[in-house]
Amino acid sequence: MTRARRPSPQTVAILDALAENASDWSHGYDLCRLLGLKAGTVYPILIRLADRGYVETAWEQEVPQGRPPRHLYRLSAAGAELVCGLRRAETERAFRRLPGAGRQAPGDGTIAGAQA
Amino acid sequence: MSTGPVSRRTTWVAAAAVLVVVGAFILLIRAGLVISVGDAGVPPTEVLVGALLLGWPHALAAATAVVATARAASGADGPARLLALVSSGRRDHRDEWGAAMRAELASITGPRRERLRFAVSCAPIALRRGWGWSPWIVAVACGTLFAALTVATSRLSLHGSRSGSLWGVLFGPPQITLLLVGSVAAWKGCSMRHGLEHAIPALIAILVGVVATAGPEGALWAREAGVFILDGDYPSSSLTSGEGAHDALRATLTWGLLLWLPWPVLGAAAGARLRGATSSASVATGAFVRSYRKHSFWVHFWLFLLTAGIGNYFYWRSVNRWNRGT
Repeated sequence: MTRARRPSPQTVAILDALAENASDWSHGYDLCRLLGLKAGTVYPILIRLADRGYVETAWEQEVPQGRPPRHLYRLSAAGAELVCGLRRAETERAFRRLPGAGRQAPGDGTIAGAQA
Repeated sequence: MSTGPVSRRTTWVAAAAVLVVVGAFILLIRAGLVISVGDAGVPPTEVLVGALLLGWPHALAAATAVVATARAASGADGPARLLALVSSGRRDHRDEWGAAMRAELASITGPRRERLRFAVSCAPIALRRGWGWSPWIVAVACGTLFAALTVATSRLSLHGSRSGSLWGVLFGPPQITLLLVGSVAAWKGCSMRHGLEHAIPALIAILVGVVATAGPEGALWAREAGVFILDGDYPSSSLTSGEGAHDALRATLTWGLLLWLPWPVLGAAAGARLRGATSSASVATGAFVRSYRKHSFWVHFWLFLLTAGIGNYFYWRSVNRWNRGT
């Protein structure tokens, strides 16, 4: 049985960045610049996410002359589900932190802590 | 390790490395002669022959390491060469990630500092091993084997001829083991790096195994036989257990290490060469095309010397299978 651990803030940031751009492919260096993270942080996370099937990888097809094809990344269906789950869990935690949490959640008539 | 042509500069650097190693051995032998016999007129030619006999594996390993490094570290500038060097020789999906980092670096057209920062940041990831547990399993097996061998030969000799046993353990078996481990691992992993990642932990484990057992056995020899475990020599005065253990440890940590050091490199290089290893970049980008391989005279020569012809058969079979595409 695998342990369900909360991903690190850097992993969440990468997943969020990929989710923002869900239909397009992203590059490793662009992710580094976008998130202000070092390549030594971004690549191990991408390797792990790809190994677990949360990220799809591909090689660039149309390559300008003079440089090798770049590696491309985008969220897989499982990755998109993971991001949804993480966002849901984050919302739940945010509700729990609100004063009076556990009672009626504002507006929707559900109990904040019991949201799906 | 790729098998492309070697540049003139690399050849010169490799030749310089060989000269440095032979020079170091000449100095070592001269120092040993001065200490032991007071430099009693040993001709320089004999010192040179001694240095060549003792140091040829080191010289060959130094030249091999220079050539392998130069071939692996190919790139337009320093950052590209750094990343190419540290990510070369990976296999499976790790190979793909090494190529991904190299390709990403190639796309960074900003200042050199930015390229260097990216390469330096990627280097530890590329260096990190991705071979699983096999190096550690091999290392533990080698360490245990040599610990057992040291004890077994010591006890056999102690209850037999008492002619010393440690020299027989230090000289011969470890070199052959490291050569085999390095070459088989490089062969299986299709890269010199894979061979080194197995042979270097094996060397450390063999050293630990021999050191852990040679000390107590040296003390036992001093107590029971009053002689050194290394070669069964009698001391000039009486020998204490501590002195016996100290002599065994000193011999292992100096002679052992000195004699064993080049063999992981030689084994890994031989395995990669036999396999006709290809560069990781070309495999990852799909550029690798299976080409016709010729029998190498030097590979046959060294195999004949080191394996008495057995390795030649396997090399011959490997080249033929490669050329048949099986």
